[in-house]
Amino acid sequence: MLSSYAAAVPDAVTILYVILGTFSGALLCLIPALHIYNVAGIAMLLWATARHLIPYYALAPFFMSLVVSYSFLNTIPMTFLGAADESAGATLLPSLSLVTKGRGQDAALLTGLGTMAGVLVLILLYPFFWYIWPYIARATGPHLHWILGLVIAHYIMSEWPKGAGRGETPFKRFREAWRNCFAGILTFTLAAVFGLIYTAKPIMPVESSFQNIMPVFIGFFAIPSIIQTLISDYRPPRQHISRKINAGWEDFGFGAVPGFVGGMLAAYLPAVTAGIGAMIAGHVTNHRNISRAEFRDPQSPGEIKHLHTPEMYYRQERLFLISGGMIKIMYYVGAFLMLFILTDLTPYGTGRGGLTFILRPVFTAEPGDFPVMLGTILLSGSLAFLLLIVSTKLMVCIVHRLNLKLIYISSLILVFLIIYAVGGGWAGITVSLATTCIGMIPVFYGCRRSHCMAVLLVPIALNMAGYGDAVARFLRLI
Amino acid sequence: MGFPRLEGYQAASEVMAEIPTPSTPARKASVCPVCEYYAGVTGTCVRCGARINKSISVRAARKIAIAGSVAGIALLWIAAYLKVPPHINIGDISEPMNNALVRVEGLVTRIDYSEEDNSFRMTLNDGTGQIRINAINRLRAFRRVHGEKMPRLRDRLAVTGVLSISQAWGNSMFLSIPDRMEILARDAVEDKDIGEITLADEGSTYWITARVQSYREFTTRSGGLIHMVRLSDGTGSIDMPLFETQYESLPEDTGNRIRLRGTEVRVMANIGSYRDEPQLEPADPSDPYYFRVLD
Repeated sequence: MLSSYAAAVPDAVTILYVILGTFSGALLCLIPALHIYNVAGIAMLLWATARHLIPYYALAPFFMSLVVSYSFLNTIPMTFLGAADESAGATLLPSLSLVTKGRGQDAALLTGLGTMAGVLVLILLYPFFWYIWPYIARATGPHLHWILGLVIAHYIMSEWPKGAGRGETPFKRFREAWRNCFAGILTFTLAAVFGLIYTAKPIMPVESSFQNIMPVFIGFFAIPSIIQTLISDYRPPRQHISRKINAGWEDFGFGAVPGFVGGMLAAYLPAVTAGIGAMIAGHVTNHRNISRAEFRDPQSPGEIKHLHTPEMYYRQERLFLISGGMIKIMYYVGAFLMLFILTDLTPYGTGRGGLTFILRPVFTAEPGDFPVMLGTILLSGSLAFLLLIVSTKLMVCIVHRLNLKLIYISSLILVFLIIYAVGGGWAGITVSLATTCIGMIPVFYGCRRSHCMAVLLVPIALNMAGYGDAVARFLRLI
Repeated sequence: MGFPRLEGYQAASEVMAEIPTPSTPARKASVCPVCEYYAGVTGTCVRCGARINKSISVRAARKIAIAGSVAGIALLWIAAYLKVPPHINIGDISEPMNNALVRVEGLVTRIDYSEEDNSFRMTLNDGTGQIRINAINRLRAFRRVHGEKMPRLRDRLAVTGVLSISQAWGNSMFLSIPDRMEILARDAVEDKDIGEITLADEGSTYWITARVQSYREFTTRSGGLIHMVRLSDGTGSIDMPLFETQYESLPEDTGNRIRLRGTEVRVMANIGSYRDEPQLEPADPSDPYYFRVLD
């Protein structure tokens, strides 16, 4: 009898740490611009110096629940406060649009439902992950460099001219139309050059190398978001409170396909984030003939032009949010879950992503961990979804009263303190300032922010293709 | 507030001239002055195409973004160019150093070349610890740069590479750029008289030149065959056990001759111990350079 109690103790402790991880993640990710990988890095450092804080067997469940919770709860700052991270491309545009219309609740809960659907997909696709995925991973492994090359080519080509013919002269119209394309290519090129230099010869102090990419991402995504919000004087209007979520169950069927495709791309391909995955998945799966929004004659007094938006657009908006939520969790959680797919074909798992990298020095996945991780995802996901509902209700009530400038300036100070403490000190801060400038180009020229991911995409693709030394030699960084 | 009806889309710019500039709070600066649609940081309203009256600050931000990006990359390049990867002791490597670019120096205690997968792997020991160095899919690239001067066992090397610290695999380093490997000394191993070898030398490696004093075979409890060669150089004698696999890896002639008393051999060996007595562990019996019979 005693022995059975003793055997049950580690499980109870694990559950306790899963709950702790969920609440910690939920609390921390409400701080705009603070990424969970920053928190995970600090937590790993703490654990490495005081290993009694978390028992080894509860380490992976704790970190997993931290990330699951982040996948759900970062919807709040992303939706209501406009705080974008590198996965924001998956959901940010329609979210911001809905918040400005007072429908932030819809935006947050639809994204959250998409994330919950992602949790169920991860669990229900257990046979796929265990029996089929290893073959796919094994077959595609040697070809990743040219697959990444295709991703890069598709990504650059998919930035199309906008502008709608505004301008008094042909040159001005040309400039207006192609501005975002040039800005996109410029951002991509600058980020790629930065990444090539940074990976060929990192300048970070040795003691903080495990977090050497943190200042880069904070500069690319977090700080420009804060600057954007401060300059634009973003103030969300009063939000509607509704007892219903503006979607039908069939929307989840439509949203699941791009969600799964984009999520798997982001989870497996190195340096492909949720934003890039969402873009590719949208192109892959969206075959319907969608009517475009158009200007029509005024229909109400005082209207200059009536913007007619076809019904399909609204559906697309819903699907975008649902699939975006799903892609987010597959990107953050799925990438880490793949570490536990230990089969004959994949004896070391196929895990990718920031958390896999952070934990690698202190943690090894073992056979039998996969079901534990699935249970962790389900428990943590369910708790986090409940927390999301509560947080959304709270946010809907208070968002129009919040002093966003104060929140953002506080976040900015906190982020710089974190960089100084664990991200390389002054070197890290300098790096983050340089990447901030690159990250501001998409913000102010209206192109995709995910172009900044070239900082990893290009060096990884070139190194995988065997040209890393040629580039380092060309840059005279040997 | 009534706006004139527009016949064409470009007429928005004409309307702009008639609209007074908002003089009220900063909030106005983010709202389209024509249609009052929220425009964020864009310079042009996405709904009606009108210019937003805050172009100066946005333009300034744009200039800062581009100038700062170019300057930032230039500074990064200069910093990287001037940066000298720090030299560290292998024993001092800790988890937060994962992914660091560092320089280590040490003796090659093991090296494996694999032509099939175009890779080579070696173990470096600097006296404080040892680390595996992996040059995956880079063997031909290294040979192009180093030619015949590729590292051998017991060379003293300096390598600069990226640390990879994993609980499963321990400390290792990825070596991808041939120019970042430097051979500091060939055969950085001293000759040693057998009489001078003590237990304090355990873990060290020496060249030993001696004659076979005796040879015998015996079977271990687990059934493995041991070829026990006792060597003597006039200053003392020492055992050199060879496991069956090691013995079989010797060239046939060498294998036969070390069974004969009086055969002179030159062997590179690590110093081990058995029952508080030092013994020799040949570094690489399969390579005649490290284990050869002297005529």
